[in-house]
Amino acid sequence: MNQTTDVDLALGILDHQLVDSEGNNCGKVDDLQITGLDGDSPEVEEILVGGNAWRSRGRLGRLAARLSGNAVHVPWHEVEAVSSVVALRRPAAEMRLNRGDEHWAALIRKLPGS
Amino acid sequence: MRIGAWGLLVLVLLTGCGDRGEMDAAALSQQAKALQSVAAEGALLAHDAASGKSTGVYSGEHSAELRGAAAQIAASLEAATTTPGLDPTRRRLAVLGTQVTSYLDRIRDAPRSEDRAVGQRLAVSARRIQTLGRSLT
Amino acid sequence: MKNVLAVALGILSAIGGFVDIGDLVFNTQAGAIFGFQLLWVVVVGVVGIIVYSEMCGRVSAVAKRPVFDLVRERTGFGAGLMTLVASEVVSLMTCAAEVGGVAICLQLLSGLPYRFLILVAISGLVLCSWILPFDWIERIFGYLGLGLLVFAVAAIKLHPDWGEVGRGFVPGAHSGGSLMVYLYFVVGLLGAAMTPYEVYFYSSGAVEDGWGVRDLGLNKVTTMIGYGLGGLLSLALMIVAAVLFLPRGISPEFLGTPPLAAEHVLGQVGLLLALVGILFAVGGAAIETSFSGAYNLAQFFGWKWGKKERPAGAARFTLTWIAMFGLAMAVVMTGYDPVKLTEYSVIFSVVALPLTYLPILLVANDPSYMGTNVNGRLANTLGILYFAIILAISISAIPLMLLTHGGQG
Repeated sequence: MNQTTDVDLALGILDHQLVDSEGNNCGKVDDLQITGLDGDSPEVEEILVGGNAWRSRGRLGRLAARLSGNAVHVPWHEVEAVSSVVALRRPAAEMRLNRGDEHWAALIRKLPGS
Repeated sequence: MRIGAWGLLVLVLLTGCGDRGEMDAAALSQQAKALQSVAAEGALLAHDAASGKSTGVYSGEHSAELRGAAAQIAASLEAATTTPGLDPTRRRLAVLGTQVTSYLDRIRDAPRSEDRAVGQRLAVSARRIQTLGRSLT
Repeated sequence: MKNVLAVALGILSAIGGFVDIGDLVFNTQAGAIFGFQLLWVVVVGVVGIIVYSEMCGRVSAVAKRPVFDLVRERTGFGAGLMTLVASEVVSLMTCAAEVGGVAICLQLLSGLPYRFLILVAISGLVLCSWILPFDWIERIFGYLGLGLLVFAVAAIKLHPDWGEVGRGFVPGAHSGGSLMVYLYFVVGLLGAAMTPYEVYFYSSGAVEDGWGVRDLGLNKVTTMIGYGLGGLLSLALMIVAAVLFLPRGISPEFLGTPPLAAEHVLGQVGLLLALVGILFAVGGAAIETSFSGAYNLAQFFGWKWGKKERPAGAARFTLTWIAMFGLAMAVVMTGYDPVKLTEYSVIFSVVALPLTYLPILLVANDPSYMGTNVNGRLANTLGILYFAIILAISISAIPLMLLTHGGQG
């Protein structure tokens, strides 16, 4: 796959669902880091998930970004396949995704029947 | 954003949230309709209670709700001012409102044997209120 | 045979779950003011919810993802966020109204203090949502909601003038009140029938139930027969109010008023069935609105979601529905009248309807999700027709509410 197709592909997956290697949801493609756009070989560096990734998504996005922490950067080579969802090569935890769930799960597990 | 919030507040105030001091014929008529509704519903409730169709808890709780509504209407009628021509009607409605309130109290407090009589009194009150209400339009 | 039984049970559950506090309030009030003259609106509303529920169910079965999950990628971040905010606000208002309704029912059954019963209601709802698997929640609340059938029985036993009833299915007359009040109730009845939380919940529920392409028929049958028959309950509420309340000049202001009708016609048994039916229909709706809020939030941000994940497996999703109940409880604890809250939540839901329904139409027409199962001509004709209706009522809802002082005239 040459780089131009990669960039086209990436632009097409904005706001799409990310799924890790175990089939778990792990966020949406909130933004993309593309380098070399002014040159003749632009490259998709990484996918940005959550937090201040919404900074570039309009006024509502900036408001949302201010209320959240830092985005997670997922390097493009972690992408396994792109279909209706974006499948990643590794489990969410290894890529520091779904930390929100991990954080709150500790609290919930203290309750019976969880 | 700020203008929007103030505008909303003004709108809310304009649409009126209940009792204003000065009542015209239309407002009195509204109160009459509301009071008549409460009295009629109370009459139905009392008759059903007398016929054993109800449960003690339900007729007690629902009559308490109705009583609260009747008391509120009676109070706002008492406190309201209106034109000299409408004032006798207002006062009569206020008295009826107080009566309806006390009848509805009886549904909760009195024994079942009294329910039929209470129901009849409420039905009579409802008719009187309806007549008064019609005179306003 | 087993399959037929499963389908029948699904239909029963849909019937019992159809009516919520909005339907109770608006249908009874409409009957008490306009008699049979608004019956036609119920039919229009029922067909509308069938059309859009069928679309939502089809999307879930084919794309294996709920409609709302696809909204953000289909309409973009900004538009998706607006849809999210609109649906969350409406879900929360509705949830509060339903919780208030549950507390009132408990009070009419037990005589215990209202605020205490709000806590009981919330505890019960949270416990059910936490412990019970998804299909058990649907079943229990759906079946026990069938107590509302007592209103259908009462409607028949009251021997209404069936000729007059028939004329009510043709729009036109509004002798009970002014044209503005009539139109207000048209808007309110349609809004109460076509609540967005219901279709979003149905869509996520279909994925929770593991629907696939083989379930497309089940989807059609559940929505058409289940919601169709559920609509009969709304009609019954209006007919009963028309026969019993209108002649006496009773204007139903309390949730305790419809049970009075059941009691009058069918005695103590009628009263208790009505109260239990309302309790579970409204309680089920409280769970649906809280979960709808959680589903939508989780699906917008791409979190793990679903009852099948177990509470700790989808922590943020779980916390969201608990928070919904918490906020709903806070609203109801203020003592604000749940019936008034219901009226506002229905009207605001109507205002947000175009924003919440348009994505459904877009996704159901998108072949990249639906393949060959995109909307056919009938679904699109009806879908677009209803979208036009939705736009019209959305624009007129707040003006009508203000002009008529919330239907008081």
